[in-house]
Amino acid sequence: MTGGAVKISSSTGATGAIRAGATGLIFVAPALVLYAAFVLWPLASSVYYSMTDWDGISQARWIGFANFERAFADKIHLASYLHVTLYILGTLVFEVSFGLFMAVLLNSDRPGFALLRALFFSPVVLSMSAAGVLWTFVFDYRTGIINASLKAIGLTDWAQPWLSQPTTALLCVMLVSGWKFAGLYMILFFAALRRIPRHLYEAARLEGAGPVWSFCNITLPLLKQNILVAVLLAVTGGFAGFDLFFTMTNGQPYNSTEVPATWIMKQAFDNDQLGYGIALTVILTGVVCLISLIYLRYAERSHVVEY
Amino acid sequence: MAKIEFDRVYKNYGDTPVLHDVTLSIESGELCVFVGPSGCGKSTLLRMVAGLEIVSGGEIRLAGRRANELPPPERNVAMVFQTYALFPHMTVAQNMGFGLKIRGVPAAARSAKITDVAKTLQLDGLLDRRPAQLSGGQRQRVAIGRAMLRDPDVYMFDEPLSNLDAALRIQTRLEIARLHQVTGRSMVYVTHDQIEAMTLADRIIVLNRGRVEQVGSPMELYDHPANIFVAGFIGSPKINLLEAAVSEQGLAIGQVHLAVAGVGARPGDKVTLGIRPEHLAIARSESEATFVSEVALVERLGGETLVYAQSPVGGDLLILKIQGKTSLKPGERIPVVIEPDHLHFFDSAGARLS
Repeated sequence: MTGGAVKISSSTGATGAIRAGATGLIFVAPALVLYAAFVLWPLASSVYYSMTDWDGISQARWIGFANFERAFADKIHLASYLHVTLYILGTLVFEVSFGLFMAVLLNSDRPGFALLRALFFSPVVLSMSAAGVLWTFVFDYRTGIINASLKAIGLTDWAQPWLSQPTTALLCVMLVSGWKFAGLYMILFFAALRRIPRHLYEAARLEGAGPVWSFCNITLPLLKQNILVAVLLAVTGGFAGFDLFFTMTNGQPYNSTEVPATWIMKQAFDNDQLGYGIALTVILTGVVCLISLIYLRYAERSHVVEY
Repeated sequence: MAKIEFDRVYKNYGDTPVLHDVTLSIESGELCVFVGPSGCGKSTLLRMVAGLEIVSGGEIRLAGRRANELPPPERNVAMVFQTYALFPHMTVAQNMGFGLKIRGVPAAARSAKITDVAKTLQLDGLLDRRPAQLSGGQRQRVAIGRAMLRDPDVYMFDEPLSNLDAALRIQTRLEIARLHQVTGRSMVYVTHDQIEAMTLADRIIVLNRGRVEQVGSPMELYDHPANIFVAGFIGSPKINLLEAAVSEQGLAIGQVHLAVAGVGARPGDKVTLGIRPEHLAIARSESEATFVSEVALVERLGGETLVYAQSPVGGDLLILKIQGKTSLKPGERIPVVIEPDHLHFFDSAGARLS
């Protein structure tokens, strides 16, 4: 009797669970359909087309892993990863570190500091293409303000074709990227700095701590989470870097500023090798995902500070 | 140990004056409490001693030495903050020993000192925890431990009990009193709680709107308040203040006549009469009473009872503190007698009359 009752109950429970699951599925179905249509399907298509020889117009021809074999033998493609790595290191210095430095420097309620922060932030709202074009004029060998200034103060030998020589072109793009984005990181760090209680610094001052000690032992550890987020943004944003490179150098001179995004664009649209371009994109996606996963795994392990 | 002297000290924030002409001295080994309402300047005064605020005018001397321009570490003062000011990313041991680390004390010596102080404060099992893993009382003890490791000439406490619950407040108050007894160091304690001030202080400095209202021992302030503000601020429950007029026979409090001498004012003058709640009593009969009043509220505290009754001049209710228990109920009429030997008189400007 008891066994029968249990059996009935168990059967009812299983049916109930299925019903609940089905109801849940109905609720998530719209989101699932959108996700499948706009993320999963394009992703799957990309993987498919990366294994084809396709110019974007004619019928795609299946060629297996040939595009990938070609990509790993493509010296410019491989060099583009070196360039983007250097660029990312540059952004960590000129954007993240300089943004943090400015946030600490401008963290004050004194009159004028809010205006300075707004001024420092203002390049962030400018479009990348506009910033690129603007700085191309600034770096111009003959008419640019940098060379004109150097000549005006007698440093004529220091005038350089900044964007036309491999030794300086990538550095120039890094500097412009720093000018464009340091304000964003400054605001991010400024908001976090405001959360650190003033009493912590006062307690340290009473014990004899100087500004450097306080920065290294109070500010930096308490900003650790924000720094991790900023670095992740800089790294993933760096891999996606295209606009500045396109407007300022377009990968030149001699492919010295070629990064994966510019090389992909050239292969896919200038050379009508869409299949190869998509294969390069799949590689880039894999690299960025891998780096992000490793980084997030490390970031999640780090201690979250509770006040 | 160090004597702290304030000589005509002023403090302004921009054009806003915060402290006016503060002149007083805190003797070596004394536990002095700055008390006053929020915004009276007591924390600012403390922070100026610590070197966390610039002195706008006058001079602060520590152990006879001008301290206005001395950097905070050279003043050898330790401060316990209201919010504890513990570093959230450091362990208890690191928090307590960070001052020693800055001063270059070797790790072994540092560890020994931290262990020693942690034992005194019953923190020895918590040294590896972070502040977020501690209770409010434990955090406060870590902050005190950090101050003790500094071995300062002056301990300073800025409303250290404000964030603790009632039971923990009493316990921590006792610990601070014990710390004062054990170390014998000068201590400056800021609070807006007059009970903390009364129970802890050797001397209390009452501040109001940036001015020193009165300096004295807790009982001096209680028995001889210099003005209405001090009378009202010191004492719990609050002193009863009644508007009265001086007459040939004594005082006229509304329709009630009170035969008192030595008010210190001329007949016809308006004065304020101050009566502590324990100096109002319930008479055995109406014939013995100064006046008859109606009970508005009764608060039974166990050992004593507070009776709130209608005032003969209207306005605020009178508070009577009665020892023991009572069966009084709101609405009952009671004969109230004023003990004439414990009255305080204040002139129309609020100053004490002789």
